[in-house]
Amino acid sequence: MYSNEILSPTSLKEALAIKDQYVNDIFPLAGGTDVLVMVRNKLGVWGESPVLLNLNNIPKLNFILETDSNIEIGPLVTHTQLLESPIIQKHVPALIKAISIIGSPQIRNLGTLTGNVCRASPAADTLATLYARDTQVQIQTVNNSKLVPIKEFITGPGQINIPENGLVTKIVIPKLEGYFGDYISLRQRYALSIVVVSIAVEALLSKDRSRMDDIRISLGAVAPTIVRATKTEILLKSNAFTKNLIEKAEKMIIEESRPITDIRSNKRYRKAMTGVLLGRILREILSH
Amino acid sequence: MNVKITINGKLITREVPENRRLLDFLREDLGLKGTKYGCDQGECGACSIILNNKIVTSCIILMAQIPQNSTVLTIEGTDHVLQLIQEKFKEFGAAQCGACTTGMIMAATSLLHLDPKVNQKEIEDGLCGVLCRCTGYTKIYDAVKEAQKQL
Amino acid sequence: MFLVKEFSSEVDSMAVGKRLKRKDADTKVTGEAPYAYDMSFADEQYLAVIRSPYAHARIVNIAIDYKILESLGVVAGTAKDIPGKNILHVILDDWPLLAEKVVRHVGEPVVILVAASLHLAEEARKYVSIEYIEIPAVFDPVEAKDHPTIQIFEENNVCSYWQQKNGDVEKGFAESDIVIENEYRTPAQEHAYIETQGCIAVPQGHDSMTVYGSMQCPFYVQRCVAEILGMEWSKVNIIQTTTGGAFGGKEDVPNQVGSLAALGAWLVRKPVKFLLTREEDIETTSKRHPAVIRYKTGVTKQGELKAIKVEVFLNTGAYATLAPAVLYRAAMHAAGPYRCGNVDVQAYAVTTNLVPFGAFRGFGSPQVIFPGEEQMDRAAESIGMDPSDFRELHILKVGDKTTFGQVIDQSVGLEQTLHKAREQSGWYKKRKPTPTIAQVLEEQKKGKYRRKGIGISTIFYGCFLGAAGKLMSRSGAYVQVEPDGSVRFAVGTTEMGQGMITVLSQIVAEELGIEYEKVYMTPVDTSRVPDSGPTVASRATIMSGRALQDACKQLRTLIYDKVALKYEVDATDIEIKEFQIQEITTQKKLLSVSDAIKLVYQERGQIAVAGWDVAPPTHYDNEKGQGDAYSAYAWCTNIVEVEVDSQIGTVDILNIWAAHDVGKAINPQTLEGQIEGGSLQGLGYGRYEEIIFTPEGRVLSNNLGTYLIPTTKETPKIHSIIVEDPWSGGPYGAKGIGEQPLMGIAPALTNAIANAVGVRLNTIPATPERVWAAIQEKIEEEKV
Ligand SMILES: Cc1cc2nc3c(=O)[nH]c(=O)nc-3n(C[C@H](O)[C@H](O)[C@H](O)COP(=O)(O)OP(=O)(O)OC[C@H]3O[C@@H](n4cnc5c(N)ncnc54)[C@H](O)[C@@H]3O)c2cc1C
Ligand code: FES
Ligand code: FES
Repeated sequence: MYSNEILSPTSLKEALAIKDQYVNDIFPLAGGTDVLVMVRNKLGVWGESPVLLNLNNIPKLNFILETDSNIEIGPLVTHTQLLESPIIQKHVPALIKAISIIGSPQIRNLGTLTGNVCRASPAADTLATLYARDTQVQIQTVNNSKLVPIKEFITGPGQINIPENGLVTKIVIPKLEGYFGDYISLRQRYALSIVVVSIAVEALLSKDRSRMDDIRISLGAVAPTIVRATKTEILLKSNAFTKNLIEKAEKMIIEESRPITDIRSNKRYRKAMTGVLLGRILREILSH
Repeated sequence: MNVKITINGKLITREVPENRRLLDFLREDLGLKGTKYGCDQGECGACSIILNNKIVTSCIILMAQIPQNSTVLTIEGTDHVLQLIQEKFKEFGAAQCGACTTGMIMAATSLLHLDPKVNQKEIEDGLCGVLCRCTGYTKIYDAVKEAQKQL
Repeated sequence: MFLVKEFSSEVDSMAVGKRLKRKDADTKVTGEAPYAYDMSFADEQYLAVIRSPYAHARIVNIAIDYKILESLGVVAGTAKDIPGKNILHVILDDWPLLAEKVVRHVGEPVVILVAASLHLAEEARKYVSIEYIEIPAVFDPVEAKDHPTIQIFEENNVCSYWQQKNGDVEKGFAESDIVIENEYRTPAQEHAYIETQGCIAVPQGHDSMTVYGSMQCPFYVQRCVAEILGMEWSKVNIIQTTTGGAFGGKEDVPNQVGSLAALGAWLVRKPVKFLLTREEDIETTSKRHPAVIRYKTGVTKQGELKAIKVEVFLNTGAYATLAPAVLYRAAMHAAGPYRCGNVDVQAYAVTTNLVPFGAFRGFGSPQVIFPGEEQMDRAAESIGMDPSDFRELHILKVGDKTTFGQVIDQSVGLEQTLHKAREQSGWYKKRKPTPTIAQVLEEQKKGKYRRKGIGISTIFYGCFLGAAGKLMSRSGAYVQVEPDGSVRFAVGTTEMGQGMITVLSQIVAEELGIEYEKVYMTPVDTSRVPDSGPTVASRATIMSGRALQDACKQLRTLIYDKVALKYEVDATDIEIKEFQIQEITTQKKLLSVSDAIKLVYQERGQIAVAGWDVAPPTHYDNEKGQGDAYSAYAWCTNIVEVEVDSQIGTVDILNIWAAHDVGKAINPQTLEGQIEGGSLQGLGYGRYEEIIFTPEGRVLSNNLGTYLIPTTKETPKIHSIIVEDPWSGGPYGAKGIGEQPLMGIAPALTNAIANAVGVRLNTIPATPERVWAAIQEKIEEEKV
């Protein structure tokens, strides 16, 4: 079924050296739940059975770390590991919500967060929360390492901004103290199905709960990449947080979103749903 | 590549191409045809097996991705929970056409390995990765719940 | 009609009526049961098919680089290489194995390639180039009927027509207070059996051919392979492998799959394996016919059902295949299980340039039952009546006449199913008044956007093939007792997972007084049993069951004769009771049945017999639109409870109550299995499943990630309710259960949605987008 040549380095150093040598002629392989499906279905460049850089023999790439201000996740960490991690449960509850609905137990046992990020699908479940968190992606080459904000890392559907000799070596999620985080996704089925519309919110209420000190809203599957609803964020931050404001925000996010029609849903419905879902999360916050 | 892997309690060492799927390794190389398939891309779950104590779809795993000294449990294996669930599937008529059955039994085995006390909702979550077109899942639930009573 | 043995309770029976363990369970739970893809043969070859990329085109040229292919060891075959007739016989003989001059749908086979590996066969595609000229195509059945320029089937593209006529509909509508008229659309539904189609053809030179494969109807395949290869039928042998689900999808399609493999095997004189990938299976094999249905119902304010008028357009796709038979069932079921004096049903099967549609559990009836039961609900609503009460006024009872004029004189359990389903579901308590859209919006404002609703459907199912398929309605069986007291039998109908082997083994055990554990069915093989017709229309238990009863009766006589001789008793004074043979008058036990069999063996008596069964007569006069459409009817009431999110349009299904009159439950466990599985497929049809085609007629949703069937997470609690109103023609009174569990779920579901949020759907599945759009439309209409 697969005729790809596979290289399996046992250290990151070796992996970076291989990537440096092969550059665009080799593709990283983590859990493979996207890669193997794309190769089988001959999607674009994957159809030519490219050489694969198998990262699974580098145990050091498997870590979940908590630092003072961040959570750091290694490229081999699977969805199941994140679900079971007390660090993630405590600091990024919205991500837990997003991950728990990915595929099936089988898929969550194989797929990784980094793979989900690097696949850069506008419907990927983890991305909305990562965008709302202003997550950073660490890119490493043989002689360099840098952090890139996720919205600069992902440039289009299936497209990422990474040097031809680079690998993602860490996902860095900033901690947010006192924020309320939530994620809702609509899908055609409750398991093994892809997002129709999704929304992630991270909100910080003022002490007296009368205003939003901060709010980040991101939408999935309504544009070529995940998008932040910046106009709606500004509206919410610059007014008293009331029922009335929620209704205005619902209208504004519908205005702001520009979805398309595809095999899973149509434009009109998707647009309307951005308002409904935002409204639900905001009312939840208001009633708390 | 040279693999060293314990399958159903038996240590196997041999040369395999690293781009061989685990599914093909089991079915073609080892003749373990109890693992079935239905889509070749992770969507039906018929090919589910337990790899290092986790339920996975063997159609989207390449041999290169499997760490050395891994363990695999397939439907042909010996395991207390597995055999109990097989018995209950028979007793409750939970297998109709049988095409999903071995994948479903492996998913149920994995689920009860992790937690023998799961409730109905957790059973639904645990088995959602295997599609069954025949049974309406109802007799499968009955079989799993009966197995739970004996654990 | 066949003698019926009465069994009042489980105590009296040895096997029938009991929840006995499935015969096929042992090897299925271990994975040892061999499916087509598990088999291998020495020197086996693989087959790849080059298919049409166009929906409608003329083939101008097929260029094959035979030289390169030969050097690679690949053999190619076109229509010209077919030694016999290039026709796959189903009903109308319009379906070629390989297209020669014209392709009529995307995915139609044109060339086959055979090689030692699948990879090689696939690689060889590039050495075949086919030149086409595209011609205009049509995909909608209403448009295709009498199309001025596009001709797919004869002059008007109508490949079959059936009608029902009763009384005078126009008069009926004139007498009605309210007339409800709507146009409905139903989707193509994919069978999505978990094992895809596959066959392996094993030639014995050019002398004879054996085909192994996943299939429902081996005798269809036998005929097709013989005709394609130009061989005598006797030289073609078909052996069914363990079949991983079928649901109608493996009725006529294996004719094509098996014949392609057989042609390949004939060309290379080696075993040829042809296993379809999931994508190939969904894109190129049959599905439930999509349909357009225009439905008009007239009622009076008092609740009289005055008139029903229906027009049905079944989209058959590029070839008729089974359409005439499917359409017959659609036409007969169109007006429902009700008494109505004025009925007019006009049903057309229209060819289009989509993939040929075919058999699927329910066989044409779900397409008309959805509109029919929607109309009944809307009628009840229009006069302010409870929809279950309204149905109760009109459902058929013993002695009533169907809308096509058949008097049903026995086994009418519909009323019982209605009462039981209503009682167990708590219908009257759960059924709340349907809200207005203003009320729905008002509640949304208060943060309450989830609403429950409950809906109902009452249906009937004409058992077996009916008048349109009566020529195929016969079955053979073969029973052989072994000297150790075990019994082996063979039939020509097949197990696809529905539990036939189990149920037939129970019948044999019962008839012969042998322990169920000692009865075995041999794999289905066309060389063992004469043509027994297809395993469709829920007929296997009944037809094969009766053929087995016939055989067992003969065997009993043979056994009794030997016993009578030896024990010096009267052969007519012997019976079997609790696995023993005893004298009837004295109740004296003579010997065990096993020992009796040994006795027959020692006495060199005959130990093998053949049984035969022919279905009772049916006749339908299509000119008059009246007749005895089927020999028996099964009945069912479905109640579905849903929760609808009125802002998002999602519909979650909470409960299904499925009450079925099956005559007799020979094995309640397998029966429940059929009800549960069929109900979930029906729920898929009503709520989730829809094949999406591109504007060019290609299947877009071609895998299990885009064509969505219910998972555990969408499955509600399914409550099976079994009603037994025996039918004198069936073994122990049984009528069959295969199909009706699916048929009535969709409308019970849409009726429940209507009860929850007050909107009606004319199209299924009830996707969130559709429900949401219906709610928005209503908001606009009523300007709230
Ligand atoms: C049946 C099924 C259901 C699914 N359901 C969902 C769902 O509900 N929601 C969802 O969001 N996704 C879903 N997916 C998609 C997939 O499982 C996820 O995107 C998963 O997180 C991918 O992780 P992976 O480790 O398998 O990635 P891989 O397939 O290994 O890789 C994905 C991409 O990332 C690249 N990559 C991987 N690691 C690196 C690295 N370190 N540096 C640079 N590039 C890298 C690869 O080259 C490739 O382009 C589903 C997939 C399947 C098969
Ligand atoms: S065959 Fe592996 S999931 Fe379907
Ligand atoms: S038993 Fe047939 S698919 Fe599950």
